[in-house]
Amino acid sequence: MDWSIIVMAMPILAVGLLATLKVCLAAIAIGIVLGFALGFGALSRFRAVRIAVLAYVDFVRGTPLLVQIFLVYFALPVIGINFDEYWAGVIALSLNAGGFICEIVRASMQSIDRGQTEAAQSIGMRHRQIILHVLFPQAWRRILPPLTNELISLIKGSALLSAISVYELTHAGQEIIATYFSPFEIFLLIALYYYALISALAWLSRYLERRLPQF
Amino acid sequence: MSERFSRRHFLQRAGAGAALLVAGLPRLALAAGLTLDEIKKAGVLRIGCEATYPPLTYRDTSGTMIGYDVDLANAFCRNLGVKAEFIDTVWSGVIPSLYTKKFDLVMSSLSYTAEREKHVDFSVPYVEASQAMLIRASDQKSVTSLTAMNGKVLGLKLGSPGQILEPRLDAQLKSAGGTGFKEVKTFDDHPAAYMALAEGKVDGVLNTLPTLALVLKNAPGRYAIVKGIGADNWAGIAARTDDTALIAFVDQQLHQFKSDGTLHTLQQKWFGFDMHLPDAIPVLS
Amino acid sequence: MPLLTIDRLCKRFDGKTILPSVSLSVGHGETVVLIGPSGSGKTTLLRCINFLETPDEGTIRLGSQRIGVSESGRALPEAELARQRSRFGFVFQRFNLFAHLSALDNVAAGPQRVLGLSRSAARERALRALEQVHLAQHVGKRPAQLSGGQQQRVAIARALAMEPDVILFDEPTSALDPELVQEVLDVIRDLASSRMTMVVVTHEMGFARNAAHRVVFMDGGSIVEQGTPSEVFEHPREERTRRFLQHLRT
Repeated sequence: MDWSIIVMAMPILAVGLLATLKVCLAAIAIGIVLGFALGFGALSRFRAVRIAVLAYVDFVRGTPLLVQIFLVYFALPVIGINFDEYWAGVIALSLNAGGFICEIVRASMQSIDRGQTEAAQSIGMRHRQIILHVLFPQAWRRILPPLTNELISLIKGSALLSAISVYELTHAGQEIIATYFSPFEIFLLIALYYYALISALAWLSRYLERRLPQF
Repeated sequence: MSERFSRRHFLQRAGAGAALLVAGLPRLALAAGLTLDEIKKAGVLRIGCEATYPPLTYRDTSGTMIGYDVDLANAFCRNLGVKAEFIDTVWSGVIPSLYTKKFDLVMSSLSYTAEREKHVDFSVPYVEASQAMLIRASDQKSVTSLTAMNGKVLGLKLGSPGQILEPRLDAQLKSAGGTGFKEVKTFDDHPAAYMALAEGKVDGVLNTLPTLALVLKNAPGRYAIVKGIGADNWAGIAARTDDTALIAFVDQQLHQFKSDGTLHTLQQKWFGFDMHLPDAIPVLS
Repeated sequence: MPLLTIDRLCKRFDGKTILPSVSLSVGHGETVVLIGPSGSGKTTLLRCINFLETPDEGTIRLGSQRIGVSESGRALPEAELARQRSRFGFVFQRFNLFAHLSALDNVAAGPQRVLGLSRSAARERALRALEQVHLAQHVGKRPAQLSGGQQQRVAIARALAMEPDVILFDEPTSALDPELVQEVLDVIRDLASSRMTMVVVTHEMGFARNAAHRVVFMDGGSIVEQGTPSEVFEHPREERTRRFLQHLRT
């Protein structure tokens, strides 16, 4: 175990970790907003909206994240949309997470007892009101665990952004290894950094779950 | 009483053993060096390479590995009486992979660097690895030398000689009064860097001259080359430091191919010109 | 003119005809109790009235307004259907209280969100409705903290707070423990005597006898006979009615 390498690498990797954090926070924020919007769309009373959302989710789930990243970074410029690698990474991760979060939200709301919807209909509530005031407040507890899983996947998926030259944690580690040839120490350190980041997220999720009202 | 002691003793031993195992993992991979007889008995010599590196190692339309390195390796393997097997690998991890024994030699133009020489045994030079820079054809009037890259974005491949050279180039630009590179983007392989160049995300990509010459040929009119970047350099075939017999064999074969014209034939075939290869490993500053 | 008119209602599920053709009228302030064996279509009929199920044929009118469908027979836009539904109250067998809201908020939700009352006005109205069902001291409790009988009374208050023209009850006590049944039946009987127009599907014959103005016996998707409680219970005209009542007595 080459400790000198570890000591040298830690601050360099910390820079990579910061970049990973920046990308992931942005992607999580956008992904959640997108995912919830799509989730509501999946429950729309307009068939055209439901079908459009379904098609989008199908594509996102049916193609590998790496391919989606390449599409955003290398393929979009061909039709004139050019993002730098940071934004390409954020957008690819957001679009991907959005598709999965959509399904989480939709399934959670549809899993709520049909009687709740019928009771709301019986007092004259409209579709939009039922989703917003009856189903959504009850769905939170069911949404939180799978949502956390998806966000963890997103953080891990950010490691793929090294392929489009984003200087995130994994890429930073790869550069050190390319020069100093100490894969064991470096990858172990990288794993620890990811573990710390993901553990923080998991802790936050459990805390929120406890704080949510029980019913 | 004896039970308690022996259990603690066992745990101590197990702990020490585990620590040794973990600490010694890289070293454990280094058993005694390979002998030529062992290789002959195995019937195959495995060579780590990067399959997106024309014209040294790349795939033809049927997916078969071809190139200067493939022909060269086939030649000396034939003389040893074994088959050459090329193993495509992620370039940034090629030396660690060598030590986990995924293969026994490294080709695809592993250039000489002081750091690498500490970790592997190199053969004498087998190919030129001087750097040149690929630019967009539309830029060839304005970008005629490295100084034009002040304030521009450079594209590199992770683990390539270009990446190792970059800090020196940046210092060179700055000491001549320029601002240096505006940004450096590092990709996992050269094709990704070329694509980024074509799409305007980077303004120049470093790679070895023969490889870039092939890029020009394959995408006519899209790119241009700026020569004379950095000092002359070469690449050697690398093995684990323990495998002295193997490297001695490769050295002997390379000397033989130089005198009997094999290298000349291969270089004409794959590069279109003869390379100047020193007879000994170059001394690096 | 009757308040609620059901004319030749037909409902099919998966090719099976549950209600071939049902016609029924309910007058202002009348309490009609539907009885009959399970599978006779009572619940289906009830759910068709406020369009929780969509009838295949027939019309339903509340006053002069046609329910669920425009006069020309086309489906109503969603907003219009929701508005019509708010004129009915519906009490479910399984209460279906909003699990995440307190009793007060459960009852106030309709007045606030559907009728557009301010939050305080809605809560005021909700409080009065809960007082009417004798639950004023439980306003802050969540459904999970209430007994079945209390939950069902909250559900009734929720219906009352909307000031509906008709309240529909779908076996309101069938899911309750026996000792909790009476408190709910008492509330419904009070509503009957206060001249609320109601249609109640139930197996509680004692309640039917005491509280109903009219008893309707259904079997196999059709109304077999109807009349005052004493007519149906003491002097049933049809053989099927007799057999059903016989079955109950044993």
